[in-house]
Amino acid sequence: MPWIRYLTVWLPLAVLLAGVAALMGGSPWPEALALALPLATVFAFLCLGAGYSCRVLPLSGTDASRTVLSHAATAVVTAALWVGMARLLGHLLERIDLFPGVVLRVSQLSGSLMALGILLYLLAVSVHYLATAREESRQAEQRILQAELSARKAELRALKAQIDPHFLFNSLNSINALVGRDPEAARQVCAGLGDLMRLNLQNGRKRSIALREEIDMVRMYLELEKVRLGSRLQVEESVQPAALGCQVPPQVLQPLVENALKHGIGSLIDGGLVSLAAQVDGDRLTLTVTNPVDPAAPPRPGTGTGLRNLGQRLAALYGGESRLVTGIDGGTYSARAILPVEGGQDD
Amino acid sequence: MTDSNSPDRLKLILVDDEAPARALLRELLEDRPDIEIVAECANGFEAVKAVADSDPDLLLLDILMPKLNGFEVLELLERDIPVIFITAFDEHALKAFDVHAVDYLLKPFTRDRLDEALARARGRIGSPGPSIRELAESTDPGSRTLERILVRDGSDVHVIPVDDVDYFEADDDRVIIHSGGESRSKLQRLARMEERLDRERFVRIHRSYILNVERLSKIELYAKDSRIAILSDGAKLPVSRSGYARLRDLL
Repeated sequence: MPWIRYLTVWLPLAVLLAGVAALMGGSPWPEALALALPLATVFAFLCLGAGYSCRVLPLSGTDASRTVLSHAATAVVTAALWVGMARLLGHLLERIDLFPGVVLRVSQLSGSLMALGILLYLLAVSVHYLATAREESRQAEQRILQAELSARKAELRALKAQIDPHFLFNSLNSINALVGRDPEAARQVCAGLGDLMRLNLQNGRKRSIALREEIDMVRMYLELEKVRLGSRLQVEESVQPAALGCQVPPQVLQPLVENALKHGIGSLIDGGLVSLAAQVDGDRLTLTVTNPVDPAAPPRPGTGTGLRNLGQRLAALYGGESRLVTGIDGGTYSARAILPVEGGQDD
Repeated sequence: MTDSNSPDRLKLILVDDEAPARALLRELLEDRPDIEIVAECANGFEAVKAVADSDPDLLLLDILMPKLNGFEVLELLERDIPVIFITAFDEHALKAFDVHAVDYLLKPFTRDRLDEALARARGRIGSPGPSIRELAESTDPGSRTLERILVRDGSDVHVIPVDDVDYFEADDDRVIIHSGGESRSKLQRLARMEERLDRERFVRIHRSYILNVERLSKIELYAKDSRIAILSDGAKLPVSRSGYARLRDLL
């Protein structure tokens, strides 16, 4: 119960008061305790007023002199009230004949009690302001954390790579090229593009999809690119059946394949073979895409952004448990994403 | 059909590495009696060769291609031919197009848009436009630091990695590139070459020479205030006073 905890905080005051009454006022210890315990309790309740006046006079926004004056005045009034109660208590104790001479001793203590009351009240005010400031800074910290979290989420959303816009323009151009000579093929490209975009939208909203679904999207993508690149694009797949059921973030394989086409096949006059591989090894899933490259290819804009985004996404999702490794060996470029296995891999 | 030898017929070369894109252009251009496609090229090497062989009036040029990109093709032509760029998406290049190119087509484009570009090109032929080299230099996407130097020799294209270059020598408005005992000439001013080279590797040691510092073997005092650089293959190059200062700063 909070009020019991609140009163316990004031126990040291009771001890202090008893000490003051016994040592300064010359009260015998039982009398000192009989005075101190009720007075400490009363003061505890009086100090609730300090909390109220702190809320009315927040440190920011009011001028300092007004705040100091108000608190000083309240302190004096509160302390006077308290001393009055002490005297009343003295009279009460005298009346029941328990401690003869107590009224005198209390009145002798009045000055000290007054000073103590003012001091303690002002102390209570300070503690209150401190607690408020701490609470405010805690809330501010929380707000910052919250902001950071939503920024990170936004970042992830942004990084959730959409299909490369180049691809859209290229596909539209394929349609444009086919529509006169081969309308049926143009229709197929339109339908394929529609299917892929739809699937990409659907899957993009999910946190993870089965690798099987990701591979389906990549196949559709490659079909469309074959229209454009013709025989320059050859594809080979080597996917372990156990890997198909693994859960992966959407758009994990796509950037690797896009990269292979853009910087590999696209930079070679005769194109070449793009190999996709997926392999489960214990608790790790490895996705590998290799392609031939021209080491002396002309500079191309946007080199590496897709892969960099993917690397950041994986790092945000899995931290140190994932890796994106790229390398060139002779004329072969390989990009490898290694992630922890999630979900069933039983089929 | 008009007579195929009509003097008004524009000889055109179309360059795109994608077969469907070429097919589309061919299809759209076949209907036009005033255009003659003299060559279709699938890459930059073919384009350079075709221009040398068939002397076209106009180029339709894709930008992203294997081996040589569109800008590099222009750089190698060393003569002014009106160019219509074709690209899917390249903000970087678009800015430069607005300033210099005859026109550009963004894929996908319509027949009307192509006709408009051709009309504009026809208006440009014969009238002095921006020099093609100016165009190539202002739009080159690789204008950061030069990593490879393209030289045309007749219809052959040589690609020289800058690391293989021993030194560059000025020869009027051309640059002679010396690498591994061979030398090739390219239409470019030495100062322009210097701007695009990595300053950590190449130093202008003389009004007429830029040296690959890795090839430097030693420097000898030749006369008062005049030195010669001796390269690892024994070649000797003059070093001017300011050139020596630059060399000392780097080493």
